[in-house]
Amino acid sequence: MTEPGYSPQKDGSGALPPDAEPTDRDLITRARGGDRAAFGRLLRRHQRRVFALGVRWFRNPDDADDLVQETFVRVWRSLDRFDPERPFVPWLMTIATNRAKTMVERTKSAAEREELDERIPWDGPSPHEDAARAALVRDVNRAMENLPEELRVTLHLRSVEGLAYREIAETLEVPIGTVMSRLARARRRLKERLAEHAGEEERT
Amino acid sequence: MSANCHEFEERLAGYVDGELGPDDVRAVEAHLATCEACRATVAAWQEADAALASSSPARTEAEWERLASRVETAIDVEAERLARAEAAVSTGAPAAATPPARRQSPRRAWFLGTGAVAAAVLVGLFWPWFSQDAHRPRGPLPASPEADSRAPADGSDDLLQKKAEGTRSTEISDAQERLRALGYLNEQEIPAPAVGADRTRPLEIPETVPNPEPTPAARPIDAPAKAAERRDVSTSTSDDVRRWLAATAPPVEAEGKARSLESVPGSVLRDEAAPRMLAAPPVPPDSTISIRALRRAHEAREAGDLATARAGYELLARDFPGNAVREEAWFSLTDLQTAQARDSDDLATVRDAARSLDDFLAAFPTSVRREAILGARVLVWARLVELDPSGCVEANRRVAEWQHGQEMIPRDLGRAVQRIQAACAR
Repeated sequence: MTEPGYSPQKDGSGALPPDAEPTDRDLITRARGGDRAAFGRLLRRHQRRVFALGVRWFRNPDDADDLVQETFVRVWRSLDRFDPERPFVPWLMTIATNRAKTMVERTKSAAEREELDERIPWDGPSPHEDAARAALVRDVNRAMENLPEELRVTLHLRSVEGLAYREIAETLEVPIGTVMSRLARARRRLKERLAEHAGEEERT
Repeated sequence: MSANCHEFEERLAGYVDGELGPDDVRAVEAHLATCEACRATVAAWQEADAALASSSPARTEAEWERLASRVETAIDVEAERLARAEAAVSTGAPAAATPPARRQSPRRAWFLGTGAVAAAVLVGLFWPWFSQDAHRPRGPLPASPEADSRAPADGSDDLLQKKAEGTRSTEISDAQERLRALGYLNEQEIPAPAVGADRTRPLEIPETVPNPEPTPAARPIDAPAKAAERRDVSTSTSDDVRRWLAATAPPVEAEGKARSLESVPGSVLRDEAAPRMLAAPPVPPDSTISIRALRRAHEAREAGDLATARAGYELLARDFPGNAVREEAWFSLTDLQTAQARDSDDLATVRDAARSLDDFLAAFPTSVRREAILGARVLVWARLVELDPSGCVEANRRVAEWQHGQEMIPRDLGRAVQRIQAACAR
């Protein structure tokens, strides 16, 4: 990930010094002290995750953009409440999830919520992937879109963010048993969808 | 798949996720060794997981940078708001009594330390900015320290505490927070005999009801399509804002302060005199200028120069590309219009405010200001139906929209609803 405005210092050997890539914790500490650039780096490092979660949640990029904005404004305001001993990403996901829930509540009555047919922007990690793998990535993400909201968000937190069941339970404020049953249901349905997809492609 | 397999399903997931204890792992592996169907299931899940994990939203670096800049602008706006709240605290008086020289720049907020910011947020809820125009003709507000001491230590901003409180009360406190930010709640919590007497006195209904047929007056603001408004970047607009900035007289000290802060390396504020930075994509060049213009408009409002403030807000609200600034400007505009309209006898003024509030909701359907705007609409429509009872259906629709999901009715708004009912019963 490139970060405009950031140029790592190099020492004489040409190797990066150990602090070339500051940890989230370092950046948060600096941001708390008023270091705007540090917060900017934190934002640029993690905005994609929040955006990705937002796309899973809202299934459209505009609302996902809004989620990124609301989440990071909230993160900035809450920096001093963050326990630096704990990992940042689950905390970020918790804030993002709360914001997303609020946004869903807020927009339930909004008329514009009708069409969700915007392009959902998902890519594989690199253009060098082989075609079959790229197709799988596309199919899996399309299958995800057809899952109910709670299933796709739960599976996203597990498969994409790699959160532990306990962390997902805390983030979504549901019992661990619910997390497990959601994951099982999500995977069962994902597998069925993928099988349908494979069947369709073989027939054509 | 045997009946046995069904029992294993959840544990298979736990197995894939590495969440099982050693006994369960052994049990699952023993089963997998004998069951081809479950092996296939595990393989499929792992494959899907890997595909998901390797997926990423398709965007260019420039798009990511634009989003990051937008967020930073939103934080500038937030910092500005917090700093203004902090300024109100530091003087122990309402912001209206604070000279413009004391205005904090966004940069200042970063230096405050977030502890102070948290305190400022709390007190900022009671910052009676919204109501100042309504109050000004009747004399100053009661001293705010009293109000400050009444600030509930509910930490409504505190996410963790929110979780502990449960979602329901969180929503209510969110709604309260926004109403407070608008000045609705502090009016009932600050003992203000003069103002209170004013508010409870029966409203005089004008003898003639002007214009029973609502005419679609020229819209003060266009509410363009959601997608278009976010993406349009018009350089002529930022030129307009520059011209407006140049044409309005800044409070001297405030401007000097801003300038010196801009020379801080890595400052939030980028000097408009540095055209290279302004021109360099992908950072939107307009965020700095718009933040400054927004601050200038706020300052004008506090100095009592409502015409200048309104012109600035309208300029920024119309089609300025920075979404956060635009939203804040438009919100400030509706705020100002609501303050003017709620007691106004001029139907056009009240209609304009009502329309502006509707347009805000159309333009920013997911705004955090939504509840506040819905509440403001009730206040404005209460006045509107008193002047023009033909709007009763519309007014009641807005009451219903505001009440949707609201369990607590602030007294001021409750009174507005009663006024609507009274006006419509005739």
